[in-house]
Amino acid sequence: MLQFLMRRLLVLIPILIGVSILSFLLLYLIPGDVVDILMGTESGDPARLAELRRLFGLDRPLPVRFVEWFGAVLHGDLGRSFVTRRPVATEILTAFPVTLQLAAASLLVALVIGVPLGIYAAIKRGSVGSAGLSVCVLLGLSIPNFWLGILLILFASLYLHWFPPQGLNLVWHQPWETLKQLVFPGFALGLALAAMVMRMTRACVLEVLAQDYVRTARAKGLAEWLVLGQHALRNALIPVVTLVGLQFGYLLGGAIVIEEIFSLPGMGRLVLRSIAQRDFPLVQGILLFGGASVVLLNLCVDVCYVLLDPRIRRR
Amino acid sequence: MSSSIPASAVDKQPTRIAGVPQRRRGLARLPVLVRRHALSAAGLVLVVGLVGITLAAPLLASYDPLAMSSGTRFARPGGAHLLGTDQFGRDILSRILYGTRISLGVGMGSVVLALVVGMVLGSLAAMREGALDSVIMRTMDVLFAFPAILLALALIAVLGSTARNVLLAIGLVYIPIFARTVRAAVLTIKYREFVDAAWALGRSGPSTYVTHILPNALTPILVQATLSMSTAILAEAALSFLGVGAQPPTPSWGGMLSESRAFMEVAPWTAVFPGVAIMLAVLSFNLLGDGIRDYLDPRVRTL
Repeated sequence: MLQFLMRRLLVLIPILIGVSILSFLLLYLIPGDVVDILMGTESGDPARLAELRRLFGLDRPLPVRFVEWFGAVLHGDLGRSFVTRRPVATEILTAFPVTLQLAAASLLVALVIGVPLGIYAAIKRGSVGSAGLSVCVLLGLSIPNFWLGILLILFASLYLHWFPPQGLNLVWHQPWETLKQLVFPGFALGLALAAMVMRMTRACVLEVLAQDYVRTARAKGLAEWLVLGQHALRNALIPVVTLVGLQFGYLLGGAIVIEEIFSLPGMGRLVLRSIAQRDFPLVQGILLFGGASVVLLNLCVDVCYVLLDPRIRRR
Repeated sequence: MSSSIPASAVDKQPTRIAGVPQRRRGLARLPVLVRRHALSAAGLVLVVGLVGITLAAPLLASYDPLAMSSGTRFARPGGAHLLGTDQFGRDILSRILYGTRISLGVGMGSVVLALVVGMVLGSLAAMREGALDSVIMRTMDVLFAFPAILLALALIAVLGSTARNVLLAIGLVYIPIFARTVRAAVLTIKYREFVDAAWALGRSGPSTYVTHILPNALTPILVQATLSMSTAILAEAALSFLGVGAQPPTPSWGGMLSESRAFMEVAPWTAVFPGVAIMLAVLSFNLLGDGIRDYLDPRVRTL
């Protein structure tokens, strides 16, 4: 296990470095440079511009600047926002819990809807109900999450007289209020994932039901629910764990739109604000943070997978 | 449970592949047949229809999508304006019809871009293997690590908010998907015996690749391209919704949804119909993609 972990970590390092390089280079794709953006339209005198450029280290070669920047990143220093002047790391860490809560709520929605329906569709394969669920999966995958969000708000405001409040509490401060507030955004973001989970659950349960050991379990006269509960589902749901884990990137991306619709002050709003204000250190920091967290989460998924499935561990 | 999978059926087909429903007889097959082929056919018809609308939008739309008219603001659906009008009195149906140009244009453009670049990179990686393979695929891993919308947003932030840049950004973000699909497909074909035979006959690498490997590797690539169309359309709509896509007054579905948010309590139709359009477009490519997969490669049926 330890050996496996070490091997995975070694593979991760070049990818994390690559993620950093790409995030770093983003700033240098901008026409002009940081100083031009900071000065905006006002034309400062050339001497002062040169002074500023030297201050920002823009007069030195790109690789040198990358190494310095990367060294700072390793110490948790992502630079400062152009606009608020606060450290980028602080801005991100303030917004991230909100996004994490939304992602967790969506995940919960996806699992609660997707897993039972997927199992149902597998054991009732070929029935009208199962065919209907297949169509539902396709619809679920095709509904844009932001449209669903808008429709939910429209519905809530017209019939329930509920409007999304500004801001979001943290679940460990005001659990009940927060959960209530997360129901609609969680559903809007989680529905497509629920469809994916259902599709995957169905395929996996079907595959496991065709295995010899399931036949053996049936042959020895085990009740059908025990065959499912004791033998089939435990194995069938392992790939579902992986699928769900690997969709974190999707949730993070989807959260950008959903947060905008439901006025949640998370990473999505932060990135949209920073883009609108051309606050590039913040954009860069969020990009790096997003990429790195997906990579690290994928590692966690791999580890979970190994813990759940002893067959892989022995290899 | 026991009624739907009799134990005897399992015994008769010990090598049955999971996910493929057992053959039923007579009328009992009807639900299966209807589900499989009718949906794929519907997908094909819808996709052809969408392409037709894209090309013939000026002929189909009864109004200029940009023409404002203060007299007909927020007209309800029905009558002269089938789907109603928006806050500037513009005909929503005409705007949706013209909107297919942005949606399908950007979607198709980005998928083609990703397909071409991904095909070159994936094929190179698979044919050469070794160090080049590692370099290409690790680079793809890096690109793939970022949440797609986030990377696209960051790129557009730098490049500027235009439909062309949305196309470039989505295309770039999708390259790893195609590079991986192509590499995997080429690798499975590369070591088959008929390819060995071509080598043995003295064929060069590129010639073997073009005449023997690529044609046999096309199925998963085609399926991936079709399914990617649906996610690309969704991504374009999301980016337009966020205001970084095609700029107003150009009609785009995501942009229409975004504008509707301020008025949707008084004019819900402005928020409903553009969303229906996105959903139908995405659905039709999903149906078509699943259909192509089932038709060309029955082993990997998902539904």
